[in-house]
This record gives sequence, C-alpha cells and structure tokens, in this order.
Amino acid sequence: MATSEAQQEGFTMPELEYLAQCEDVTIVPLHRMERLELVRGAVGPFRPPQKTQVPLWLAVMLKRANRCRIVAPAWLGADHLRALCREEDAPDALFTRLPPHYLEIAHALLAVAEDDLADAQAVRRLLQDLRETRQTKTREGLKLLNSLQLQMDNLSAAEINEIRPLFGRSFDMLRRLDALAATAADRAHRGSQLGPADDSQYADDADDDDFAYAR
Amino acid sequence: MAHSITGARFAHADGYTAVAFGRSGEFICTGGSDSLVRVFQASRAERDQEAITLEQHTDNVLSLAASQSKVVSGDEEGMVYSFDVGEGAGGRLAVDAAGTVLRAALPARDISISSSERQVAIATDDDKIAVVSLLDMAPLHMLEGHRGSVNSVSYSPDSAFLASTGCNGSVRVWDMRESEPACVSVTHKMAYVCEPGRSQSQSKARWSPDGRFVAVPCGDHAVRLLERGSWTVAAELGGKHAKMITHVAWSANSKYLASVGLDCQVVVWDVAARAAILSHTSAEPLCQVDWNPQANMLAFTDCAGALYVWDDVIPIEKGHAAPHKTAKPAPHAKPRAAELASELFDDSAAVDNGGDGEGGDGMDVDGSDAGGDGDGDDDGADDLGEALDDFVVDDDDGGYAERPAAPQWIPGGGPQTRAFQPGATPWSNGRRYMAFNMVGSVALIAQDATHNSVEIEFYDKSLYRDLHFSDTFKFALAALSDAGCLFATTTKELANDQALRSGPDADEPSVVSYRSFASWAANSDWIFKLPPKEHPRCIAASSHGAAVVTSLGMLRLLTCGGVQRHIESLPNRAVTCVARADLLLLVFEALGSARSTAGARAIEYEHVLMTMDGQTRIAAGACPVSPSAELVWAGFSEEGHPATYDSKGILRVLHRYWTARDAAWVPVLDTLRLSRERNRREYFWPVALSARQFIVAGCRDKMRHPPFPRPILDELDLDIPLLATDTHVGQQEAKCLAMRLFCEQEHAEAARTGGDHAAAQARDDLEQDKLLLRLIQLACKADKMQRAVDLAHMIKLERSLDAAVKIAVHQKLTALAERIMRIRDSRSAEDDSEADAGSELESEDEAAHVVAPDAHRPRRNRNRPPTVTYGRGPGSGAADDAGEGPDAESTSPPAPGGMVATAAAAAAAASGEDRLVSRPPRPPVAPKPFNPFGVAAPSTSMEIHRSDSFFNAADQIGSESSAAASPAPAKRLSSSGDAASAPRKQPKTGPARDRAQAKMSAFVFKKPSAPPAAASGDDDAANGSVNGDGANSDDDAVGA
Repeated sequence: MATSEAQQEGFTMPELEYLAQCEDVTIVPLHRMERLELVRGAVGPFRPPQKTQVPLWLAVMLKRANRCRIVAPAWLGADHLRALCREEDAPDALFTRLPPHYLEIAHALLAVAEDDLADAQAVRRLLQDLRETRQTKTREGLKLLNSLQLQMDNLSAAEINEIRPLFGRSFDMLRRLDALAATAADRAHRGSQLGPADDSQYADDADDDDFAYAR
Repeated sequence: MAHSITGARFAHADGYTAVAFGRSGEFICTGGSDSLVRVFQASRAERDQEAITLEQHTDNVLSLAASQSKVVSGDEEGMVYSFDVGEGAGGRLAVDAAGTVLRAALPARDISISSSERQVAIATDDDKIAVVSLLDMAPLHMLEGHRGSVNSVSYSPDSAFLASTGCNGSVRVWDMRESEPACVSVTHKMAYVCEPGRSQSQSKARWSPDGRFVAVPCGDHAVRLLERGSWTVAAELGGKHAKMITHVAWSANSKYLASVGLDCQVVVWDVAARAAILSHTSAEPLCQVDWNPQANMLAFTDCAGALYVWDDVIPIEKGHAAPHKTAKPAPHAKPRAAELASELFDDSAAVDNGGDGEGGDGMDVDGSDAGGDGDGDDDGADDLGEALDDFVVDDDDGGYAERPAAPQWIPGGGPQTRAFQPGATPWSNGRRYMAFNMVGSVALIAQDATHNSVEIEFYDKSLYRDLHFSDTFKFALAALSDAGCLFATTTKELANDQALRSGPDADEPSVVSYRSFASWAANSDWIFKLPPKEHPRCIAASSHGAAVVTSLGMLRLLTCGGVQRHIESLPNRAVTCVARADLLLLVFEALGSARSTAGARAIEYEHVLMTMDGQTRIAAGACPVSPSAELVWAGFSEEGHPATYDSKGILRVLHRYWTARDAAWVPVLDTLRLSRERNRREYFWPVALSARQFIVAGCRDKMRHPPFPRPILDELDLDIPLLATDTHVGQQEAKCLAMRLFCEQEHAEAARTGGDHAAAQARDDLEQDKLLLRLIQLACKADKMQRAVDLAHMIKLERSLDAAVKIAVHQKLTALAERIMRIRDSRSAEDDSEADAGSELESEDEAAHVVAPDAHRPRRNRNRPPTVTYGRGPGSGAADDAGEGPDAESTSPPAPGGMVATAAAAAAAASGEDRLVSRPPRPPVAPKPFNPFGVAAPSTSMEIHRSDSFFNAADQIGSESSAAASPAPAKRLSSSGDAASAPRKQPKTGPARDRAQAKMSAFVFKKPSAPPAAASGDDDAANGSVNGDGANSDDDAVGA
C-alpha cells in the first residue's frame, strides 16, 4: 500500500481538506490583479467582474482578504442538492455523482464564503442529509463485501476514508479465509480423488496466515 | 337537479370553510376551522383519494386563493402562507410550503393572486389592503382608503385593477398599474353591510375572467355587476337568494356566475340572460364556491366543513354553452396581441417586453397579461362602447373572451420613439438599475415622495469605493463610466420605465448632473438645468466627457469637468447613445419605420459614430436588427467595436468603421440559439462585450432583468453564426473569423489612438495562424486540397506557412506543399520588395549607371500592379496543375530556361558581380536554418527535389519580368512559346528570389538537373542572383 501505517487507519478531516486544496473553484475577483505565476501554473489575470478559476486555497485566501466572491459550484446549490437527495433516496439508487472532494470543498466554502452561497442554511442541511443517506448506503454496501471485490461507484474521498480501516482489514481477512476454504475444499476434493493431498499449497497459506496474525 | 353532486366530504371541522380551484383545474384546495389546508385532486376518479394536508396554519383558515402553481392561504391569526403546487413523483400533486407571505395583526379575510403570480392582495380586518410580491414576499403597497375592515379583494384578470369591498358596504376599485396604486372608483353602500370579524356573515366580490365586470353581492340579496371603466352597475342578478349571499364565482368564460348564500342555496346564473338557470339547496349555510376553470365543475363548502363537488353543472346537452373554454383555435394569438397592446399603452412594458423573443423559443412574457384569461387590453376603451347584449349572441363555443382582441391603434398615433439607456431596468420592488456595465452598477432605491437613494457599486473594488447618496432630484437616467457618473432627470413620457415615482412634470426644467470619481480634483462635480421643455432622452458618459441627447433634438457634449464643448441638432428620433473613451455611438430610429397594426413591427435604426468632442463623424449608416425585433442594448466592446443587441437575441458589432465605406454590422452571437442548445429557458440580459466574450446576467424563471443584489455575471463566448458550426471545422472557422474581427479592430483602434500595438499584433497574428494551421491540418486529413490552399492564403506569418508546408508534407501531400511554398515565396517576394524599396531607391543612381537592366528594377517595385505579384490565386494554381503535373514540368523547363540562361551567361556573370558590389545593404544570402522538409519521408523529398528544380528553372524565366514593368503576362506568354507554364510563374524581384532560391539551394544544387546557369561553370552561377540577371537580360531580348 502506498499509504503509511498511520494513514491506513484513515486520514483526518483536516488532512483530507488539505488534499482538496488544489481543486479548482470559480471566483469573481473584486480587485484587478495581473496573472499570478504559481508552481502549478499561472492563474488569472483577474479582471473584475469576469470569472476566473483558481485553486481552492487561493480562493479561500482571497476571500478572507475580501478580494473576491466565490461562485458556488453548480452542485452546491440548494436546488441541485435537493435533487441529489431525492435521487439518492430513491430505492435501489446507486450513489449519485459528486466531485471526489465534495465534502471538503463544501466544508471550506461554507466556512469562509457563506455569504456567497444562496441559502447557505439549506445547503448545510441538505449536505448533512446527503451525507447521512450516503453513509447508510455505504454501510449497507459493506454488507456485500466478499473476498473478491466491493464496488461502490462515485464514493467520495472522505467517504472512502470512512470505510477504509474497516474495509481494509475485513477484506484481507475475508480473502485469507476464502483461500483457506478453497484449499480445504481442494484438499477434500483431491483426497477423495487421489488420496493423500499435496500439502505444500496449504503450508504456504498457513505461513501467510501466521505472518498476518503476527502483524 | 342535484343529481351529479357528490356527497358531502367533511374535509374540515365545523366552521367557515374556504374553497378554491387551481387555475389549471387539476386540484381543489380547501381550508377550514381545523387550521388545515387540504389539496384534493379535482378529477372525479381521483377525488376520493387522500388529500394532501398542509399544516402550516395554527388558526382557522379563512381565505384561500389558488393560481396555476401557487396556493396562498390566510388564517384568523393574520398569517398568510404560500405553497407551491407541482407535480411530484408518479404524476401526483406535490405541495411544498413556499414561505410566509404576510404576518398581519388581524385575520386575513380574503386573498387574490394576480394573474402573473407576482403579486398577491390580502384583505385583513384592518382598513388597509396589503399587496405583497410573491417573488420575494416583499410588501409592495398598502392600499388605504376603506373605512373599517375590508372583507374581499379581487384582481382583474389582467392585474390592472383590484376590486375590494369593505364591511361598511363600500366597493372600491384600485388602479394597480401605477407605482402607487390609486383608488379609481368608490361606490358606497353597494355591498352588504356586515359585521366585521365573522367570515360567515361576510360576502365576497369577484372579477369576471374576461375583465369586464365585478360581481358584487348586494344588500338586497342580489348580485350586481359593476362594469369596468365606467364603474357603474351594468346588470343585476337577483330574486333567488333569500338570505345573504356569501360568495360568488365566475365560470372561466364569464358566461355563468355561481352564488352561494346563507340560505343554503347554490344558484347558477346565465349572465347574458341575467337569469338563474340552476339552483341547489344544501343542508347547511354555504360559505364559498368556485368553478373549475377547465371543466364543467363547481365546488362549494358549507359551514359544517363539508366540501361538495358538482360535476356537469351546466346541462350542455340542453343547449347551454359550456362554462369553461373548449378547444381554442389559437391559444397563442391572444396573449401576443395583448402584449402588443400593453407595450403601447402600459408604461411599464416598454423595456420589459422589448427584450423578449416574440416567437420561437417560448420565452413568453411574464408581464401582467400573458398568464391570464383576460384579453388584456387594459384600458378597455373599445370594450366600453359595446353594449351588454353584444356578447350574448356569442355562444358558438363559449368565449367572447377570445374575441380577437387586436387593439385598435393606428400606426401614426403611437407614442414617440422611446429612448432607452443600455443597462437600465424598470422598477421592481422599489429598486431599479439605472446603469449596469463593466465598471459597475448604479441602482436607484425608492425612498419616499421626496427622494430616492442612489447606490453606485463598482466591480473593481480597488478602483473606487462604492458610493451611496440621497437623490432629491429624482434622477431617471444614469450613465456610468470609469471617470464619473452622469445623471439626468426627465419626464415621465420620455422615461422608458414605469413610474418615475412622481417625477418632475413636463413644465419643470430637467437637471443634468455629473459626479466625478476623480479624487485629486475637488469640486469637479457639476450640475446644469436644461431650459424648460427640453428634457434628456438619453445620456452617455465616458472618460472623455459626457453627452446628453434631449427631446428638442439637441446633442450637448460636455467635458468631464463640465465645459460645454459642442452642441449640435439631431433628428429627434434618438433611441439610445453610449460612449467609450473618445467615441460616441448614437442610434436613431430611421425615418419611415412604421409600427403596423398587424403585430409585426418594423422599426429600423440608423447609427452615427462620432468622437466625443463632436468634431469628427466616423461612420453613419443603417443599423440592422432582426426582422420585427427591437434594439434592446447598445455598447462598445472592450476592443472598441460598437455593438448592438436586439430582442431576437442577436449581438452585432460594427466592424471596420474606421473606413466608413467598409463599415458593416457583423453578427457575432445568437443567444437564442445558444439557449436552445443549452436546452434551457434563459434570457440573457446584456451587460457588456469584453475580451471577446459577451457578459450577461442570466435570467431564469421568466425573469427579464437582473435581480437585487447584483448577480454574478455569466460570460458567453462569441459564436459567429456561420454555417455548420455544429461540426468541429465549422467551430474552428467561426473562431478564426471572430479572432480576425477582433484583432483587426484592436489594431485599428491602437493605430487610431496612436498606441503601440506591434507586440500585440505579432501575438495575435500568431494566434490566428495557429487556428488556421489547425484548419489546414483538418483539411489535409480530409484530403481537401483546395480548402487547404485557401486557408494557406489567409495565413499571415511566413513561419506559419513553413509550418503549413510541414503539415502538408507530413500528410504526404506533395502537390499541396509545393503550392504553399509558392504562396510563401510570393509573399516573401512582396515583403522583400517593400522592405527593400527604400534601399534600392538609394542605390538606384549607382545601379543605373553600372548595369542598365538593373535600373528597371526599382521602378518596377514602385508601380508594380498588385495582381501581378500577388495574384497567384488558387484558380491559377489549379490551372497549372491541371495543365501539367510537377513531374512533367520538371523535365520541360531546361529547354527555354536553359537556352535563355546560357545565352546571357557571360553578361550575367559580369553584371552580377557588379551589382553585388553596388548594393552593400543587401544582407548576405544565407540559407535560413529552417528546412521545411526536415520531417519529410525520403520518397517525398525526392519528389520535392525534382519539383524544386522545376521551380528554380521556372523562376529564371519568371523573373525576367523584373526588368520590364509594362509587358503584360499574356504578352510574354505569347512570346515565350511552348513553355506555357513558365511565363505565368510568379514574377520575382531579384532580392526576394535570391532569398527564396538560397533557401532551396540546399536541395536544388544536389541534383544534376540543376539550372543551366550552374552548367556554365562560372563560380557565381551558384548564386541565385546570377540567374536573376540572366533572366533580366533575357527580358531585354523579349522587349526588343
């Protein structure tokens, strides 16, 4: 795994927000500024009232300095969220499509740019609803976990993060048990066919298991 | 008789119960003393399903009103809520609470929603009627006049009037078109005098859906019809009720009236016959009644909380007309006519309706007339003349309401052309924008009778701080620039919006005032009073000054400091004016543009573009708009194009105005098409044209104007309506054209104002070429050679031509590569000849006495006919190809070319040396580092070699023309015999050819078939200039 030991237990919310800082958001600058050369590339020029795309961290910074208005992304409108909630609530619905960092972005924008969001209270409430619905669904989905795969489309980063510790371990365990079951079955099968079974396969697995438990 | 009345459905607890049908007729809503509002499906099949229950109220629901999609209900506590009715899952009704409309102190007795669903009037036990906006729940007016509590209100179907009755029996009619609604009629002691505080013993008046009458239940238990306009009783329906009539309802076509009373009776009247045709006696005293607007269905409620629905009320089979409208022949014709009428007669409508696309995309007006059933000619002047009996006859399919309501107005009789300020909106909720552009916005906020307040809000907060001041002049016009803001008052007639809130009379002098933003100069604001009877029509301001066009046809030009710089008389038909820096664009209505009664208006416009000092007229001419469209906006692009936007959504720019003869309005965007493509009903309210984008405020939900607070603006990329823009190629072409348009403008503007634009031009040229190269590549891929050549001709930079050659070679299109090379060569020839003209002139004397043939060269440069040098059009190129392929040509040239060259070889060698010496400024002939065939596949390069050797040879002959300016190509053609293609070769001037050949030399001289000049063995023969001289001498021979 690419993540460190600590992170296998999941990121914290601030960490996730940090990861979302490079997502682009649209702003309307309030001050005229020339193009900014950033490491990731240039942004701007800023010509009020024309919109421009900047990374989230810059938008937040400018907003704090009262240098811009943040244009709420389309999915962060109350109407859109309401529709999403409905969609999400529908029986047998899969996860609705949302940006991978939707929770983090919404959190950041609601924190600094509440005045730029139409009906921020409703947005907050709807986001909460949406999140809870999705959480329930995720839990439901986890029940379907088997040793081969678990498919939940459109899960956002924060949501993946939530199930990561549980999922990772259970998946490992399931896989191991499955392998055990398979070899056991195999051996039984072969035993009935050929007599004494070849133990090497089983031994490998057992080693593996020991190692895993030790860990 | 009561055979089709469904049994009592006890919808509510014992007590006063209100009922209303939605305007679509799909639902019935009831409200009762259990403080609930219930919504039932109206159709007989679904009626018995469970109703939707709304539990917002906490006290007895006393009043209800329903429109197309809204239900508004009021209760005894004075709370008035609105609900949105929509379609929920599975086609079922869904009702959502939309908000609190009003918190009154006293019970809300009656509610009426205007047909546009924008306003709602509420009668409470107070003596005032509250009018509230349904859009944002803002209180709009309090109508004061009734003494004692008001018990009913009813909007006329066009929302122009409101009728109300008071508990003291008075009936009042209010004119709602004014910004301050005024009472236009009072009739005392007409309605019931009833005790305030008990809904059960009160009665309600109702306006007929055709807008002609108000039905008022009167004290003698009769219903009287108050006629619109004269406000007198036109008819009386009486003799049936024994006790108080509590409620009346009109059928949708106004043919029938139903009344219910405390005598437990429902009576249906035929209005035209003024007779009761049906009656039904119920068990309890009845409270309210309503017709289904879409069906033969009546609903009424009694004081026990029961709801009755009476299906098939009118016995149609007995020859009575249906109470609702049946199949309508032309459902759209009527609102259209109504809209026209309102545009003419209603002050509020001019700008409001001006912006809407009349046809097509279904963006209908949400003005007062569009939604209703009424025929909407608000002043009803022609209606008044008709006798009552007039409409009795009309029973064919029920509806004099759909009588062709074309207003009788006369083309010449229309009001004077209305002027408008770009970026101004009409009043809405006590606010309006006076100006709105890229600098910021100027908003006017109504305060009271004596003053408004003005708020200037900038976009760039670093530029200026927002301004806010109180305006005692009641300005109506404003023009905002980055240097200051010009304000002007004007008369009501000239202002395009409704309601200058009691603005100055026509006699009072108008005021023009300028507020400067510059902080360094104190007191730079100025104010002028115009002479009496001269009022501003439109105004403009820029950093270079201010302009005022007045009703006397004066154009007054002032500086920012208030110096009156110029005055000029104009035709008094100005529609708008707008300024940018030193340019002023005036738009007039053209003479002879008529408004016809047919509904299609043909206003034509003219534009005049002049400088802000009034000294120069830059352009003037017709200013086209789409057929039967109106101009709704004018402005300048950031680059300086004058631009207009019409009500059909087409944005145009005046291109090449700097040469008046070539000035043309180019359509650059079709917003209707755009919103069609986006599949959204959007209206784009124009703000500015900037950085090749159209900046708009997108208005949804039938709004036509940007809301308060200022919305975030949208940017629409320009999209020139070329053909086939749904294809990639089409899009690229449109992009390319737009680019060219704006680059040309930018450079012309820079040139005009003396700015430095070389760098910008180089950059833009490169950008354009990039687009063209992309197109060339697409053409190459599609094997469209001619197309590629055409595109290559449009390329600006030599570098890009090289790249084009590269593309062609890469695509293995050798013939094309060759052709592009020729374009490049001819281009560089021209460039060189222009660049060298000066130096050659200097060296002319020298050259003249050193080498005679050379003396001709400069002269030729000077009077070179452009068609000869640059005229290698695609046509001639094609002819060449058709005549003989490159392979055939490569073998033929040595005959004439070689002969000529060898004949002149000796002289050429000598004179060539001399000439080189005599012209020091000539840069040494060095091959350019760039080799266009660097990427070519080996086989292709072979072909190129051969064809280039042909070039070379052909050029020798072609360049002979450099010596003689006079001989026409045709003449030479005849003289040089069989080498048909050779004389038609691009004539070259020496230096250009030198360079071109030097570039080719890399591969030319590798081949044994190199020009015969090389074969002459002279060292200098390797130099291209020798060939040129050889050609010259040959030319002499031809001349001789």
